[in-house]
Amino acid sequence: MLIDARDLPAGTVLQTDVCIVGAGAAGITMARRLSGRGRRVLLLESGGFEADPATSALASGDLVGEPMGFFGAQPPLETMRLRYFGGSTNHWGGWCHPLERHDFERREHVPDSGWPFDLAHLDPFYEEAQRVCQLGVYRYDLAWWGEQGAGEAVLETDRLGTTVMQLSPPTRFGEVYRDELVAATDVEVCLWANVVDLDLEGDRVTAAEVVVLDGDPFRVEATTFVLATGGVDVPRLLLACTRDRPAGIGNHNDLVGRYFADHPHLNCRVALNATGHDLRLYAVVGTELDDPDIPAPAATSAAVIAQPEVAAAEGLPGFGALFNGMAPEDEAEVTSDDVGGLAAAIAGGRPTTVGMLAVRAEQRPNRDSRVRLGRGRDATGLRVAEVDWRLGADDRAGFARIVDLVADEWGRAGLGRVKTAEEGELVADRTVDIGCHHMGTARMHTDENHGVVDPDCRVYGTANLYVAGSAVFPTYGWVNPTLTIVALAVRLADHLAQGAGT
Amino acid sequence: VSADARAPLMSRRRLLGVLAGAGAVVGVGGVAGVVRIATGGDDYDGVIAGIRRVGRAHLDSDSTSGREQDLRRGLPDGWVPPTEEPLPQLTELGDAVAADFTEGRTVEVAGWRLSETEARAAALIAIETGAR
Repeated sequence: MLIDARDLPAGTVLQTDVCIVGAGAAGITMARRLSGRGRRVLLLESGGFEADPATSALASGDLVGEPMGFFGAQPPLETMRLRYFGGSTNHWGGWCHPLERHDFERREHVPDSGWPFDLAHLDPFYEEAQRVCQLGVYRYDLAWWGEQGAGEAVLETDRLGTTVMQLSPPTRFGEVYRDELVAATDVEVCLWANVVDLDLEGDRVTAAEVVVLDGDPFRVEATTFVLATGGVDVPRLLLACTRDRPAGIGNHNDLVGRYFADHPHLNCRVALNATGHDLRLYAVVGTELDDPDIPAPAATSAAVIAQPEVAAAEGLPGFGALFNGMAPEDEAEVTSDDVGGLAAAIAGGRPTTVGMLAVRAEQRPNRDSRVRLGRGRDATGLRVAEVDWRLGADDRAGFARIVDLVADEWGRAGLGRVKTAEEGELVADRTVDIGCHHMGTARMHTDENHGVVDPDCRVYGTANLYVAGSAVFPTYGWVNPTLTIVALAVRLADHLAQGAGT
Repeated sequence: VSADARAPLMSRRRLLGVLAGAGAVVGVGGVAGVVRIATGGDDYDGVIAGIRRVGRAHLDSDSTSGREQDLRRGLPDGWVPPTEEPLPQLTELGDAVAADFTEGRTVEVAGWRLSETEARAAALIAIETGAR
């Protein structure tokens, strides 16, 4: 069923069992997963089915920390995530990979690292997430894909490995799942609904206060509430709800909004000595498996990573380096072609394959990197977000070691050369691009002194308020977050379907 | 990317492109020119000119390396810098270059991580061909 909030009369109170705030990857996944399992769902979306400037403006805010490059420029906050049905899946690139095993573990060299559970616990939910994201079989290991003829891991050395990535078409959740949700008898999709406050009675959230830009405000009463609005807007709302909790809901330990993270992208020019090598594995290539019973993703690619034992022994941050044959024109005095020619001549072959290496790196959990409330207010009256993204000296040192590792290893193996500095400045020290992967601001932990949500994603200090999405990630890894967001949403929906939060 | 046609179980139908996704590398407005993905071939044109530029940049960045005696350090005895293509003499440096990278004897030339041996060889080529 579809509700246009602009048509609701003043004083309306909508009642449901599970109220999900935000119709992005997490919210839509949860609504679908809960449907047919005995609990009515109301899915609130700030925008409509298409992008709308007035609604998009509600996502604006202040960027006060580390510059966040994106395609070489600093994008405004409201363009980093999208505020209409489908959320940021409307501009998602489709890159998928589960977090790696060690991402879930507590690593001594990464303070505040680790999840409350391991990869094996999440595996079944990843399998379902594969289907939701229209991916292939839940296999990412190089050996299996090699057997399918995906190509050889020619950029490997004894210190550098390769992992396969799958690409979603990409699934535009708002388009692909819209009709199903609107047709569901136990799901109501309510568009143009902006939640600006939560009512508390004791430890229970009893209602959400909703503002409509071109309509009257209304209330939603539910037994369970789920915030699925992303790593910036989840803490923004929690911090803004000060009527009953002066520091904000779930913020009694001053953790809401802290540990804000993204995925730094280091961009290095490379010249690969590809003579005699087949680099297919590392390109984005469409797939079709011969066995029709095995689902195939829209495409695969591969990333160069550190061999796990090397990463552990040397305390390296996680990273995945993707080769990109497209690059800005090289106008330097010494070009990629020049260096590639030298390297290739030494290797006895030529020419080289030149392009860019996009190193997606892991950011360390950083308490001082945070989302706060800014001074301004949006058109609904809600205070805007102030994003203070910070990279620590340890992060920068880690980036430099990653670039060193790749440059030295490929040089040693005769595979190519890496440009480690631009205009006299180390790539690792320059403004990094980001993935617009906002994570960590309502982190999950078994101890409420260290987390905003418990391992079931329930906000500490409340009985029935949950968070879905990358805000709960306590450690981020280097892989794109969407698959994990969806896996966690499936997991939370199953938890709520069993009666949690009632 | 060299396309190997063998595909025992999986056939790869189409090249979707190599733009590495949101935030990965280059923006729509940032691609002033698309650098090719080379596919091999026999065209050496311009290689030695490029090596000369590498060598000149190394000479410009390191005042002590301009002395030929210093530049020859680590190179095979009697090694003669090639002045025209093809460049078979450079393959003789492969082991020394690999050893440099293994043992950390590297140098940044115009931002590129190179082995000391190859940087010196490029500098000698630059001198020999009159680039300096």
